[in-house]
Amino acid sequence: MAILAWGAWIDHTVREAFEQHRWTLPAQVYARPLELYAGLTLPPAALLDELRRLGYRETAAVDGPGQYHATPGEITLHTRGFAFSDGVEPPHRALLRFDGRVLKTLDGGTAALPLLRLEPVEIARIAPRDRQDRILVQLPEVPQALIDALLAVEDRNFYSHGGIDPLGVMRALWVNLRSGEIRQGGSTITQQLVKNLFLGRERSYARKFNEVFMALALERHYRKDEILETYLNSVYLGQDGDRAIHGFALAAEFYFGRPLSELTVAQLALLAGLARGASYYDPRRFPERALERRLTVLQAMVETGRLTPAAAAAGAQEPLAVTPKPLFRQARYTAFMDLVRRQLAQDYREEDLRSAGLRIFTTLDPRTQSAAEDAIGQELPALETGRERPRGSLQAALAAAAGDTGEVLALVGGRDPQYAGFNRVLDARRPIGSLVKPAVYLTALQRPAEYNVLTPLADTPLTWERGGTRWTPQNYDGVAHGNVPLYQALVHSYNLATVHLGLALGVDAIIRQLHALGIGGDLPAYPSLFLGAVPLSPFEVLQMYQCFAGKGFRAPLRAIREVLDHDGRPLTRYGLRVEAIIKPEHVFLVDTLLAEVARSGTAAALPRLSAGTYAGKTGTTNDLRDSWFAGFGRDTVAVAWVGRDDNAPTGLSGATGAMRLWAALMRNLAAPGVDLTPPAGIEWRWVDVNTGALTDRGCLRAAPFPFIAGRQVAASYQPCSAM
Amino acid sequence: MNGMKWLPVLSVVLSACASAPPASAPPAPVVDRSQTSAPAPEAAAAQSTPLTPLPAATAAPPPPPNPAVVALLNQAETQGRGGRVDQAAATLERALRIQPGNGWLWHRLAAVRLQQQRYGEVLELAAKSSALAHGDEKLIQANDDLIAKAKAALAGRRGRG
Repeated sequence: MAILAWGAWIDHTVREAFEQHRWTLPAQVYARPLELYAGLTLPPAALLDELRRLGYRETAAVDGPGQYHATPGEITLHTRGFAFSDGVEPPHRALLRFDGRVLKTLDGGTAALPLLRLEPVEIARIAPRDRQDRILVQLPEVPQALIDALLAVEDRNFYSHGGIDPLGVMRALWVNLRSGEIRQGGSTITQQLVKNLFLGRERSYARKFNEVFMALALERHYRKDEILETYLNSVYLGQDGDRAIHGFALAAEFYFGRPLSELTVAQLALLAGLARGASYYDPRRFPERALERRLTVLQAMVETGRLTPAAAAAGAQEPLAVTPKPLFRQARYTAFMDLVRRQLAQDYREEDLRSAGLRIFTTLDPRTQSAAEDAIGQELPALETGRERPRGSLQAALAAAAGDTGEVLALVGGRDPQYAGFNRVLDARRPIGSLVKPAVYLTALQRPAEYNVLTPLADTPLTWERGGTRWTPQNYDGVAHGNVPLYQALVHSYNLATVHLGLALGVDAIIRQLHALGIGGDLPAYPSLFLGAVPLSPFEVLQMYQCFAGKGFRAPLRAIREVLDHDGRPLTRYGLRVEAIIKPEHVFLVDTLLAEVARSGTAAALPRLSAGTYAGKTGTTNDLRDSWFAGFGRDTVAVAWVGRDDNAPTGLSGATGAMRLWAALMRNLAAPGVDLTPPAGIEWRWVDVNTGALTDRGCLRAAPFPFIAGRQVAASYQPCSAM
Repeated sequence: MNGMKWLPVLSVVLSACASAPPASAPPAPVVDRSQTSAPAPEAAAAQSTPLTPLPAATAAPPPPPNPAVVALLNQAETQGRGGRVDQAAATLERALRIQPGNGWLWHRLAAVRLQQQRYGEVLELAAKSSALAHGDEKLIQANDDLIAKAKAALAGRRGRG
């Protein structure tokens, strides 16, 4: 009676556990997929980087997915295809021809190929709490050679036994009796699955007893293929820090950086061999053992008639070919993933992110990210010279976004991009200095009845006093420049003129302006605000300058495009949104002035450093503690900060510090220069550059200046003849 | 927010200034910079140092025909007609990543948002499109139509609410 009840209990337990078994699946996080089309600025080396991130193999003949072949000026590739939520991108074989840094043509063979979307690179996995990581695979997707290899070494009678293999058990008993301890399981695949799913790792005779009967019960209720598939997804195959690698599909990515379907027989044999002891045979730590194990598996495949001796011999000659390090280390893209997690936390529970197998498509552009990390690596050490700035003393942050859409392309939170600690790009709030000034001048230029680009401003000494507080701002060069035209006050970043202007506009107007530009929170209502006495993070500054880059339309900075569930159904789309905050003609005036900053003003060195024409603004704070640069080209807006964590002076101005990083980023990207196409509502008037008077087109010393159309300009008029 | 309100105003401003003496079209840079660095002795008192001319405006570029963008537009069209408006929007966003300065793409996205009854977004996207129109009256008119429809729908909502 008791035995019957126990049998029924076993039966019930197994069925219930197997039915209700839900894989906890990590969230997969992807970078943007790279779109390839004729005319794209993309050096061949950058495409090869992308293909390597995707685990493509260079082969002489490109005859299958995941392969490429590169010759000077040409790359042939065979994509894997990908099911995007807006449509399936089928696998393509294509020949790409380059002209320098530009992709010239895409040749897809017979069919026209106007554009080609690569698969997105996986940049992170948000692991479940139990730290088990896996990629689910269905049996039909599993290469037959892997199943052959696995059954040859683990369970040759799998398809004929009823859950236990008496011969195997006898062999195990014999080994164990001789050694006096439990050394060998002799377990079938079914028994191993029972252990993986229902029982712990503890070995005892009672456990063994349960295991045997549970295996029998499992076989009674489920098909062999279901059992095998579950085994293939559950078996432990390696360790990456605190992350446990489960299942063969993830193991393929973990050891070889490629999907199962692209592995050779020898590589599949190695994976099958790891099921016996993933840490003992770890091919990265113990390559000799791994080679020996692989040979055993290949020989077993010959014994079972699944492999010819010649093929086995050939396989045994292959190098192990494991990737030096797992391709997706958790520490990569640290600063960006921090932002992704914060934006996800607004809509998703932590538990769903960790276990529901969500697929998160982000805006990260790995190429921009590399360019940004390289920029810091190239420039920061060069800035650290002499006693003032010892090696390793400086820190930096760099952020880039698409100017019109607000998609965040790259974030670097410090000089060590892998470091998972303090994320300066999001969390280091430092006074922004002169970066604030465009907001002041914008406010003026939005009042065209009172201000235009030539309006004289007083760059004269002043002292501001209220309630016993005295404030006497100074120019950077210590000189008061007298009456200066408005645009030159911004171009040369004159503090005195800016404070006079700000006081005339009112501090409240500037605060409202900053809020419109996307700066949240309380802002200090003091005139020192006009000179940037407001601590902001580089990311907040990026939002502000996105408004200038985006032609006056604020696009909230987004790191995520969409979230899909594990079956590919869209859960949330974070679509493109914009908000008109500055009239196009007003922002055009400011953008023009910012382009002048980067031509003749405080950033005059930028064209030489960046090899391009951009618009931007330098920022330097008291005693040279913070060095800032923010600016944009046609497509990309970026912000750079350089300073010290202990807030000590660095001896760097915006132009000598952060601007060098910014310039290196744009140079590395070969980013297109700023677009100054005037919108409707801009009127050009000819101005005598010596007198500032209006004059006629074609006059000597006449230059065109932009004004708001239809507005009177308070200036004298001199015809050519008068000069 | 008030981006669409000033569009009609703008055209009034433009027609008003048509009679103003100096040309309103973006000029070609004709100034010889070497001249600007030498202050003329008879310079009037208002200006102590010569003005640096501002960077010349870039000529309004008609978006170059791009087969990738055309293919995506066609795909979005098919998706929109098939009622797969979310996908159509995603496809238009792909096109916008390739040509963010193409006002017609912003217009098409605004039209999809109208289909999706996301009227507030229609107003903003159509305004962005017009900001990039560079004198393309057809595009500006098409955006004004979208804006009128979205505003009518919003007014209808408020009326029912």
